[in-house]
Amino acid sequence: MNLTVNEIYKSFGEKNVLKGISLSAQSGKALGILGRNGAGKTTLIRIIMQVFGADAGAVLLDGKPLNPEIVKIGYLPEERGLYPKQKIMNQLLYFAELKGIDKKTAKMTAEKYLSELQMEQYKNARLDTLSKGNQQKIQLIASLISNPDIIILDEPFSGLDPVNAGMLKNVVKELIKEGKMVLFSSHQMNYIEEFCDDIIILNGGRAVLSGSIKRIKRSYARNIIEILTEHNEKALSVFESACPSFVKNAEILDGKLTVTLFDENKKSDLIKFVADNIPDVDGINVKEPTLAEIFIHYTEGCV
Amino acid sequence: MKQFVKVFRFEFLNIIKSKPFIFLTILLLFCSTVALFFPRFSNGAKPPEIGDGSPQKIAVCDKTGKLAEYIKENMDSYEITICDENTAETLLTEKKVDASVIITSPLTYTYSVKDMGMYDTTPDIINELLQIKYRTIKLSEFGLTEEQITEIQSSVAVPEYKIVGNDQAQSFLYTYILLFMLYISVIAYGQMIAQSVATEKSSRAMELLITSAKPESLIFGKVLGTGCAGISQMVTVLLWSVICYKINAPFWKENFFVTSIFDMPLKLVCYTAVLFVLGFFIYAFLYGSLGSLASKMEDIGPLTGPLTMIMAGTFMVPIICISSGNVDTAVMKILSFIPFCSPMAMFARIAMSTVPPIQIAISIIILIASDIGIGYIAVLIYKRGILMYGKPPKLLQVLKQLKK
Repeated sequence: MNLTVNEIYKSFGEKNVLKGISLSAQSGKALGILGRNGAGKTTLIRIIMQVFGADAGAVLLDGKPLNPEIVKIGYLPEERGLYPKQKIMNQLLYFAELKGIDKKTAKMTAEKYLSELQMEQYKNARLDTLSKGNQQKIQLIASLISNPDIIILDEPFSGLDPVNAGMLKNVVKELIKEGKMVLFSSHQMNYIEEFCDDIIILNGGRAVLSGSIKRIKRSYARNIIEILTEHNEKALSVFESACPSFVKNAEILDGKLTVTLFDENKKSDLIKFVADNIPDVDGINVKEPTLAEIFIHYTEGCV
Repeated sequence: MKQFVKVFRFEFLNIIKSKPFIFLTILLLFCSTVALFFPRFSNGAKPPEIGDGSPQKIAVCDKTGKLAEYIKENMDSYEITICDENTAETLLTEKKVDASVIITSPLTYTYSVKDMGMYDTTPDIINELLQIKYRTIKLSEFGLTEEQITEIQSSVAVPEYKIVGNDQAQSFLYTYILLFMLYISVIAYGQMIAQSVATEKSSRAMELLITSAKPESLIFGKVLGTGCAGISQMVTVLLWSVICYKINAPFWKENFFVTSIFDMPLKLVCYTAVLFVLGFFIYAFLYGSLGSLASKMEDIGPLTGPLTMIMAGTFMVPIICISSGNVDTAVMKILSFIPFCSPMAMFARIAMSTVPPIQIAISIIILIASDIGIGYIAVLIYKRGILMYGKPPKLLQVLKQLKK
């Protein structure tokens, strides 16, 4: 399946929240939706889920308008929300039934995930008796209870300890492997890099960047090289005493010897120079921008 | 429709399974049982006898000098002390007598008592005695014989009542009780609906609900589910009371107040049910939509306050009118066609006077139309309200938005 969002516009009163957003996502892949607080992520998600309509634009699934009554969408909202005073199993079944899933199937799905996330013993407990991490697991189950084809996860791992986060990560990875389409929104860039091939960055209601993470990173200049060695000072002194003509600058940054070239095509020359002059080298690589740096680069300034 | 049924069932079961609801229902059943079985174990339930609460010891001071003995002879069930004015006062303040009577002329006297009992008939007896004495003296002055005088004095009118419409004295009590029940149930269940919506918002369960179901299903399911839970509670308690009454009917037959409630005409019961249900849901929808504007539980008070005030107003007018015995005033006639007030006003009119069937029909049709209209408006408010967080909007802003 292929989800396409075409030129979505949305305003609330005077405030233009979305100004022509387009994106596309495929089954079996995760798309990272990034943006600062207030960038319009939740509004976009709600339009995809058809909580309300867009002023202009379309949400298409395989070329046809998306109908959430036929194609199930699972949603884990950033603002966690379930009934605090209800028994876990009760409310999971209720949410499944609202989506048109019969009770028996829903119960099987619920039990499968409860055991997978080691929550079986709580199925008749009230939600508010659970720890935050466990509530989060229930929230994830609630979003998966209808066995959706499209899954929207908004900050699924915030506030979890590493063991619980690992458990949830496995579930999400499994879903992607099963061929589900995952839309993933988070401010924790490491998770985005772990799950998503593609990202879209929203800022001020516009998509300021979209595409594959790999390609985006490669699109940055590749003339900054990190040389990994135990003897940074000694290596730096080599560059200082006999600096080759293609090297613009050499310095120690964040504990790494970082060399800037005039021309990124001179990387082989640098490797040769290093091999000849610096005896103890662990590795040489192009310094790529991190996702966080890219994010800040594109979203600094106005939201 | 399917979603509506799911929401309805979820909300309905939630309420009837909740501990406060079960507790309240049991409490009400218990109270009605105890109250209605009471006379079986306490030798019937006679209403207070006329004359109960009258003083037993009376000091009489007669300034005319001719009436004291006459009073004493004719009030032999009382313990009468004849004395002068000062002694009478002293006896009363020292609580040696219950009341004092100071006769100042053949037809005037002062009746002093510490607390006037509700059923104290002593002054009536004295009035009667003084009047008879006065007339006897006057009539004998005109030359009538003693026999003629006795005949005149003892003749009384014997009326026979035939009531074509409603007996207001009989219908007053149940009208009052039913109006009160509607008022209480609307406020209690209305608030419950508003709170329930606000809880879904504040716990953010709404985030999942709105992405799982249509808002129409959500609000209709909630309002009707909660409403039906409330109505089923009232019906249970009322049916149980009727059963208890029937079991104990022989013990109640002398108590006019209670029999008047349970012998309510069946036609009126039906009208009551229809008007109450229709009226109930007008308010329930509004409470539900107002609840959707709240982000926190604290917002509910100010949001639903005005509605509760309207409700109190529409309750007070019929209550005042039925208390004054004047149900068919122009105000009541107008109110019985205005949807917010008509359930109470029309019910009071049907119960306590005679209303042309066409008027009842019109009132019910207006109510049904308003239920649909207000249900529709409630959905519009709810749709916007559930996505709004932060300070609740002013009612004016909401209405402006609805216009768009």
